[in-house]
Amino acid sequence: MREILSIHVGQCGNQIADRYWRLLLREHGLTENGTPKEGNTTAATNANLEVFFHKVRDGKYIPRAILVDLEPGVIARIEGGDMAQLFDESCIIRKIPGAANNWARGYNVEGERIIDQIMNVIDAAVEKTKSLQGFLMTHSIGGGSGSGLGSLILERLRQAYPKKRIFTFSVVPSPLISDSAVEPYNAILTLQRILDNADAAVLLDNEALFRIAKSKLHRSPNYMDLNHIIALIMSSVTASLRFPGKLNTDLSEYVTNLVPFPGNHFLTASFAPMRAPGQEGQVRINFPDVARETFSQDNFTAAIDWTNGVYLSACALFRGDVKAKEVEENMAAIRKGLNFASYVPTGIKMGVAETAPEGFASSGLALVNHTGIAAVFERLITNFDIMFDNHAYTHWYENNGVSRDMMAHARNTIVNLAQSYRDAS
Amino acid sequence: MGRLDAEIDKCDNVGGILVLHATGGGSGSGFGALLIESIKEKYPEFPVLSCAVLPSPQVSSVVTEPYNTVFTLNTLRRSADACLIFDNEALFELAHRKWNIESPTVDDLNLLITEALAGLTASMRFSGFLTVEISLRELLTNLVPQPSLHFLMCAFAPLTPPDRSKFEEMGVEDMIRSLFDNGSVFAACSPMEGRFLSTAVLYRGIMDDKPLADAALAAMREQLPLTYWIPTAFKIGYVEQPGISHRKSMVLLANNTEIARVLDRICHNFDKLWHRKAFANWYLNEGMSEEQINALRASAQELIQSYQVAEESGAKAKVQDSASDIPRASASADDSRGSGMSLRDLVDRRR
Repeated sequence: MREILSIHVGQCGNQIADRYWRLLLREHGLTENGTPKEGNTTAATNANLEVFFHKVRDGKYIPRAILVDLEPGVIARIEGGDMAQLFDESCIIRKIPGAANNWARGYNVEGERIIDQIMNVIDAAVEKTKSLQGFLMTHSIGGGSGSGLGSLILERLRQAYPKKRIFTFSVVPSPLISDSAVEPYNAILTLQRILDNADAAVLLDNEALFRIAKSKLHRSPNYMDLNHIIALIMSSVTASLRFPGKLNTDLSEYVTNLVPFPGNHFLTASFAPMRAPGQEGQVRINFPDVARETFSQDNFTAAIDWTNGVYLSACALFRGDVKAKEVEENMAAIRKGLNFASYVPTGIKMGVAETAPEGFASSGLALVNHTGIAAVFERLITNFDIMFDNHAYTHWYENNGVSRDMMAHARNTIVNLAQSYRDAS
Repeated sequence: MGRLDAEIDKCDNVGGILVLHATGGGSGSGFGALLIESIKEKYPEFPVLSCAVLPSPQVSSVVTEPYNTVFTLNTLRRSADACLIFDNEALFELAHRKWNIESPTVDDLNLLITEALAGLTASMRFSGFLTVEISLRELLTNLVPQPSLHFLMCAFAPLTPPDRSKFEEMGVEDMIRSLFDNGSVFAACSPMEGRFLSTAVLYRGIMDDKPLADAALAAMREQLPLTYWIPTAFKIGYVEQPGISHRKSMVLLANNTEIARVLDRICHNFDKLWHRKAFANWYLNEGMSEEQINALRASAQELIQSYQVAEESGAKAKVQDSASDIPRASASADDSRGSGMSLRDLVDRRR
């Protein structure tokens, strides 16, 4: 079995974990304790379940997940909530006193103290697998724990498991929903590590998520709503790994199809149909609509510059009651409407999984590599420069072992990355 | 220090040290300064937040307050990680105007300070489903953009008199408006006329009104005179548990350049005394030299200047801002580098 290990770092990463595992449990007919619900036969027969869950003797399934945080709050809530019995206790690592929104503390000061313990836990979890295919990491790159400690974990993972695939789901800060003054610094420093150590990163922009949630919910969304969208996207990305399907059975296949040049592995995602929770099944929409919504520009989770960029690659995954013929016909039409780079003659990589997310009749997911993602980097660099040139907040980093040279280096790396995307169009 | 060591031994994780003191008297200013220096020397790892009560002639008991304050400022500038200013002058006014107390006593002023401190530390003391826990370190990371620019001011809402708080309740929008009102900040200055370097707003017990509060705060943020070179310094914290006297309350912490005006007031009084060397003999006899005193005064002046420079550099960019709504990356970097140089010079000079 080709197992996948999920690592959730920091406050944001663990909040996503909470929504994500809840969704997976429901999709697989498991209770909050990880035991199959009564009358559930699919769990026993679905061999792919082992990809994300580890089955123990009494028929219970334990997520292959590691929860790490430098603040106790969010994890304590998961431990105290209805999923209290779900996770393996040894896989939950929480340390105080927090990274204080500071990448340097998460990476150097607090990170150093805790990284060996984390790596031991990861090694132990890897040993429980037969043939690991890779890691998924969820974190935010604006805070302190998810960005700093997340970066350190990425580096160590790459060292320890050079052959395994590493996917990150990274929440990018946005000026509208800003949690901290130093977000641009944290984000740039983390992006450099993602660039060097991950195989692919799905960027999730809080601002775009907020906009999507707001237009569908008709009320002011909270972080829970945003995380639910992220969980839906993640569950669809991993659906073909968990359920029998026709295509994309492997993380490597995603990477091969989506990353045309080394380093240009920053993706954005879209999920359709987006409905308010509880109303998913009420509107039954036909497949062409799902397909169109999946590739509609306002449905993507990053603030991409659509006008000055081109598609480098795209994957589409449909779930549920979908006919292969329908998919082919509709996607051929959609492919024609998309602005692909001239040197990419191929079509959209497609996959179909039989089981729809709970509550949906059918759903669509797009993972795309678009050169307009440079706009996300450029926005961060602009804010980074304004503060950096005025020496604002840099002393917090210098005090914790991150020199201005290191920061400038990270900044230049990301400038080059943005440029490489611009050049690719 | 022995007592402090013992207390620190009892802690698993020290998140920081709060020092509450006045800067006008003798013990709070002189010994407070020594204490902060010793703590910082022994435990450089722990963030030290000094909560300093500045003197005011209206609640004055000591003639030599300006001297003491200027001397203490020097220590606060060098040794404390941040300093939260409680200006008696402003507190007196607030108690007088908002609480309708004819002549407020020190107890009334202290009540105001405790309200603010309780709100400020609530996010460290409580946890809950919707509570955003903010450690002292996290707060400081967000509020202190440069080592020397660490003098904060605070405001509290609602400022309903304590005995009426059960009957009167303020809407969240009004609370936010009053929070940023020039007249309600705990320092005698007008923050709306200065420039906000960084801001944190901590809500308490207003979970049902959260969307409303968020929207009002976002609107307020648009109106604030923010500093151009710090684009995103706006931290929001939520705590579910209400305070004792108010079901809903909020605290504003701001790093605002108007603090220079407060410090300037103190220095002005200092100059008046020092010009005539009035009461100076008490200090000269206790081992301070004239040069020393002049150096300390100069240090306070530098602090004021660094805030003034920050204000100017923020304002300069404002003009450029209005010229083009979305500044180009290269142009803005050049401009800020220009204004940044003077700031940098100042930082270098101080070192």
